Amino acid sequence: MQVWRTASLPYLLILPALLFLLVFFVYPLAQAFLVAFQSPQGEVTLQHFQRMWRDINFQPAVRNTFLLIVLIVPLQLVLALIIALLVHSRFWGASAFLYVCAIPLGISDLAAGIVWLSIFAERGYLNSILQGLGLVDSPFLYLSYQHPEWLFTAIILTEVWRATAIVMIVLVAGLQMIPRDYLEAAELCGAGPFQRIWYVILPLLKPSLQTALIIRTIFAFEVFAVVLVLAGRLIPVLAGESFFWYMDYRNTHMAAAYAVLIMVLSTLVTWLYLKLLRPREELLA
Amino acid sequence: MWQFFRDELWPVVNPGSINFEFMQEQLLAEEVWIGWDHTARVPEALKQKPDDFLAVPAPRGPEGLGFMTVVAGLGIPAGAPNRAEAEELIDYLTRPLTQIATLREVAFFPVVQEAEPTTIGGLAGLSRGVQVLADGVAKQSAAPNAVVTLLPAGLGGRAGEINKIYRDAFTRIVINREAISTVLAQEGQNLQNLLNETGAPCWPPDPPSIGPCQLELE
Amino acid sequence: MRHAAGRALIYGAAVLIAAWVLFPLFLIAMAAFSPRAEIYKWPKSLIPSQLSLETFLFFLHSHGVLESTLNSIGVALLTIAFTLLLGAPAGYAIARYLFAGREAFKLGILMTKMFPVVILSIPLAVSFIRWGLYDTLPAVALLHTALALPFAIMITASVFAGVPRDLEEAALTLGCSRLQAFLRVALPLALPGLAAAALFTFVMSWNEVFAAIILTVHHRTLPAQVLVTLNESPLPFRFAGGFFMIIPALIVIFLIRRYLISLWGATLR
Repeated sequence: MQVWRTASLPYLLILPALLFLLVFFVYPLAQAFLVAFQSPQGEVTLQHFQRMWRDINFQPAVRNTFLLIVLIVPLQLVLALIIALLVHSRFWGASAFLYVCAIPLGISDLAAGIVWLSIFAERGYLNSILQGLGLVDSPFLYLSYQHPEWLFTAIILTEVWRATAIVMIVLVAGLQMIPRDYLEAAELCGAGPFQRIWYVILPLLKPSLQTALIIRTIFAFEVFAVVLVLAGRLIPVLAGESFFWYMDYRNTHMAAAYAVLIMVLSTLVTWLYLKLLRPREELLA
Repeated sequence: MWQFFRDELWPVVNPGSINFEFMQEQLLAEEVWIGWDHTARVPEALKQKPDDFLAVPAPRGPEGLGFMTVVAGLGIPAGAPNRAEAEELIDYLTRPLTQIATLREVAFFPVVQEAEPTTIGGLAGLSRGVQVLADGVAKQSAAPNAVVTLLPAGLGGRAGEINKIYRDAFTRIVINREAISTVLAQEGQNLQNLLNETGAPCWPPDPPSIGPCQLELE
Repeated sequence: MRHAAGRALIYGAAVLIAAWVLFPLFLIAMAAFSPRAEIYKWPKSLIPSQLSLETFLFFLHSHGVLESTLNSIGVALLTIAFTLLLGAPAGYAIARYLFAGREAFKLGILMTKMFPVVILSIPLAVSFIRWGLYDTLPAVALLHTALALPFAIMITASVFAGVPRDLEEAALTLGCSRLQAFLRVALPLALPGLAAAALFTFVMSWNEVFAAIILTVHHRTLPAQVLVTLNESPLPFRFAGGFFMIIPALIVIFLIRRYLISLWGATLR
């Protein structure tokens, strides 16, 4: 009697969570595919994907989303690594430094967009500072369709400012798990700081890097509020298109089609990461 | 018309206007000196600085002075509970005093004859700004060759897609500088498909049609 | 010599990076506390001629802001409740029991992190309409719970794993039932970690914007309200709104700073 109860207890404990996850993940996923592949009359159809393909915003949205990911994620990785290594070196004030760098963890992408809007707006702080330094006479309109490079720069800066903290925390946690003896041994063997980083830390950090990359990239596919705040509709992105089809044009089929596309792309890229960054077995021992 | 937009008008338009939604903000911030918008999206500018602004009718075109009235309809869905109260509410909203209050607060113009601003004049306690607006609207409606246009009607739940067609046409012609005839042919086809699929008949100023409205696609 | 140069480099880099994080926060605070006229002025001075609550109060009194703030708080609290109720038992099970399917369950949880919020919100919006839940706060809380639950399970698992098993065993031998051992021994020791997880969940829910905007019309949360009215709202409103949304973040991250590493370390597995 006692044995039976203990054996079933863990299952009872995970049951509510399991049911919840089934309802709120598996069900919407199935529903999204259903709605995306179903015509308003109820037949299976590819018409929504065909329409999505022909939409004037489709190719720009795919291109912009990928461009942003390719530019933002590596930048963040490098910056997060630098911060993590700095924290790891335990200089005086390192914990305060860690707190400061972690602040953006709590900042939503909407708020971050607004913060950098105050900088890049036509009468914003960037123009004001440049004018104060005597570098410009009249405000430069950064956030206009005539300057897509500036729109991208503003978005990239905002995302790097906001989301590097996520990557950084993962890397700091990963660094903490590296046994000090390895590094001491390397130092005793005459390895300088950069060699220690390159030959000891980075390989051992690979699992954390992989995790951080995956998490960050999945979030990056959803980039939405930052683009909306800074660029409005000038820079189409995938999540934005899904949003507009749902809210403005009131077409759930098209919105679902974009959602399915985002899901497929994120899963594909995650799978690629897992394949390419498989950590060497001997290091896991 | 599109050529005029693209080659002569757009170069003097604030490029940020693609994202403008309520003109009053840009008018107050002086980012825009001449703005076109729905009357309900400009009252703040007029209320705050009534001496700085004029409200004038839309420009006249070859077919006349076209302007759009957004009619906010009041209706009771079939089978609704509390039908009596709903009817009382509609009665209340259409009373002249309520109509004036609506005009005063949100610049939605009265639909009831007794509440016409020109009839009541300054008695209604309208601020100077709203009075300026009301005068402009009155001039526009009374203009010779005025052509009243309504928002697209009869499209049901797909009305939002008309916005997309117009936005895309604008983006393609003015921003992306595609060939005008190609864009008009393609987006025109999109519009025709939408009209056919929703079965919407033509709406004013076009005479009503039997069956879905047919576009004149050259 | 090399030591000093190395140290200088480290401190220099740290100061530069800290400034990069803090300067924009300083600017938005200045913008939020500038008088309205100064926001439109050009050139702007970094520090306004007079600090004023005008812009901030204008934001708070704007239509819908106070209600949406209360909605946001309500949704966040509901999310914490749902998440802990569902996640803590699951975390405890993972920490304490080696049951068949444990690894599969953990893998399943990991995979849910890969679901973009977009593919959850759009179908659930349709479903919620059908179930009569659309545009209600609990509906948004449910979706936020879905987003937070995977993290919460792994975090509580690691928190409970950090509570020595012997203490619970000792309580059992002293006559407590399993439940009593849990409530009197494990839970109090796990409380700080759980509190940190709860605060982290609060921030996640407070900040979430996409699902909130899709699922609500009249009962908007604060981010949804700000985003929907963004293009029609004046600059002072936007700046004050941005700053207002950041305040809880600053407070919460400060409160849980000690747990940040351990929280994320847990999710590494």
